[in-house]
Amino acid sequence: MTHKPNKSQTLSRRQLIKYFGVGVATYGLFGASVMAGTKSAAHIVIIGGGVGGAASAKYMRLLNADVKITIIEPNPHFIFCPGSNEIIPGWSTIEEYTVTYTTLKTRYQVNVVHDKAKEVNYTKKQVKLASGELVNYDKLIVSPGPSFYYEGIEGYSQALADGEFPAAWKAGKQTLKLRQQLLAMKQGGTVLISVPADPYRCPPAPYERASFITTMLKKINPTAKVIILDSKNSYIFDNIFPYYWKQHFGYGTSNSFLQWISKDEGGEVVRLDAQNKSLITADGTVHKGDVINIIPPEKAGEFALNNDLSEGDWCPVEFKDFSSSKHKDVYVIGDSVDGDPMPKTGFLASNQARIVVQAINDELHDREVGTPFLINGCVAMAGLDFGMTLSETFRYQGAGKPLAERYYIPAPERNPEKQLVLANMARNWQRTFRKDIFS
Amino acid sequence: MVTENSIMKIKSSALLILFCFQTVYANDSSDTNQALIGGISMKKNNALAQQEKQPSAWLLANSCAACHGTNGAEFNDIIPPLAGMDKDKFIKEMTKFKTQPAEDFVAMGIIAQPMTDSEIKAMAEFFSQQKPIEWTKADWNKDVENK
Repeated sequence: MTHKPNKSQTLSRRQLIKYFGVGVATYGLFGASVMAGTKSAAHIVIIGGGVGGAASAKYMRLLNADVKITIIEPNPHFIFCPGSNEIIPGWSTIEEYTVTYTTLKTRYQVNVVHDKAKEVNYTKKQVKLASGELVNYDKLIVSPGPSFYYEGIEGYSQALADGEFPAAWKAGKQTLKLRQQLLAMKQGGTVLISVPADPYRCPPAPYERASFITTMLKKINPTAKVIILDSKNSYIFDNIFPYYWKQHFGYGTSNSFLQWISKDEGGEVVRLDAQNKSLITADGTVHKGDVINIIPPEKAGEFALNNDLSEGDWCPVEFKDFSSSKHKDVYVIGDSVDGDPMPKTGFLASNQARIVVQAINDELHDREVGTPFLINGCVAMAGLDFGMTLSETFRYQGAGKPLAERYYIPAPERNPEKQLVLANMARNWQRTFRKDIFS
Repeated sequence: MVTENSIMKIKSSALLILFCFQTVYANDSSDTNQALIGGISMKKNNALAQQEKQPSAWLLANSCAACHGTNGAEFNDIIPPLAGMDKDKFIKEMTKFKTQPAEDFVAMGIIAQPMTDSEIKAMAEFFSQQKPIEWTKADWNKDVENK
């Protein structure tokens, strides 16, 4: 793990800070300083190279040229989840969502170690990797994403998810498999989508997915049915999706392409009968499916669960700086956080990352740690012609307290032109977001 | 269906629409789908903003980065760039988003409301100090695409 800092860039950066202040100097010059390569440089180690981890690395560098930054991530590339539902009907390709770590390495001088982090020694401040290598840290940012609790549905397993029953809740091979299964489904077949109880990653995504699948099948398989079996009685954007579904899918009629069965109506899936391709709900009803997509319940990431960062399924933090409530000099961000009322979104993971790196930078400069403030925006589409958006802000309300949320979910847009603008905005947002995190 | 033509038309008018979408469409009387607004009240929101030290301009401004790009420097057809925006213009726009009905705008009407005048001013100053140059480049992903 060596740095090759660009000396001339660093010097001019320092001169700029001296003459023009930080506002100018942080623009366009991102290299690590000579100091970042020395032994005394603070070492910021980041577990996980997803949205939270990559944003932490990039923004840490933007704030501080003198620290050493290391991401530990087993995969050589990252596939963005936001927007990946569009791969299923073939509206976009998985390549559009795929990035590597090249820019983080070269532009921001971040070490990326492609290995799996296994254990932490909190006393020695040391992370042990699968290869046996030990990495010392001064500050540890843990952003492993969620782990999928397949066993939460009896009869379901990771092996089945990798096989004939894709979850496709992390964009990748399972997403492509689900698309293939839908394309190959017999005429008049039934698609079952099982949705877990809260909290899970990207709350509106199951309904967006159902909407996309129905749109797709309406063309190629017009007698097919899509059934959402839900472990909840309400969902985000349930003031909007049905508006579109009524117009396009006959939603609410006996002849609807798409059906939503709430928990109280018997929608809660408890078991998969893989052999008979059926889902069994809490009231004992057997639903036969030709394509079965189970979105599994989730817990904090494996690294967090195995290293005493969680209480129950999620990791408690102090919201001032997202420092772990359990271990010093450790921060947890993203889907693993016990962050209610914050939903689990990439948008929030990126904003949590900025809070953490600002706090670390304040500490390194012996300054009072700044106040957190977070925005979350969710964008979703019912089809390529219909978008929707919501906004939430989260304010700090003192130590030991959850963040205070204010939210605004508009009514469904009635103007077709603006419906299209919102859909284009959703797709545009994905591009902007990928660029913000990885470039 | 979305045609290339209609997309172009929308793109060319998107900026205008984002800032002033004034047409009000009457609610279908048979439809009960309504806006949902909740969480803490605006009074509580403002009290909390008063009670705690104001977040840094850097953090406030970059809490917009997921849509508007790093330091507000995303330049594309749909979302307006903030980097290099005139301070007073930023304050004027944000005040409009806060005070006019949210339905008048595409997205900012629902986002701007909880921001205080003092926070908006700090963001305005931050963005006005940024150069109006696109963060990295439009085809940044070409360098790093998985091959």
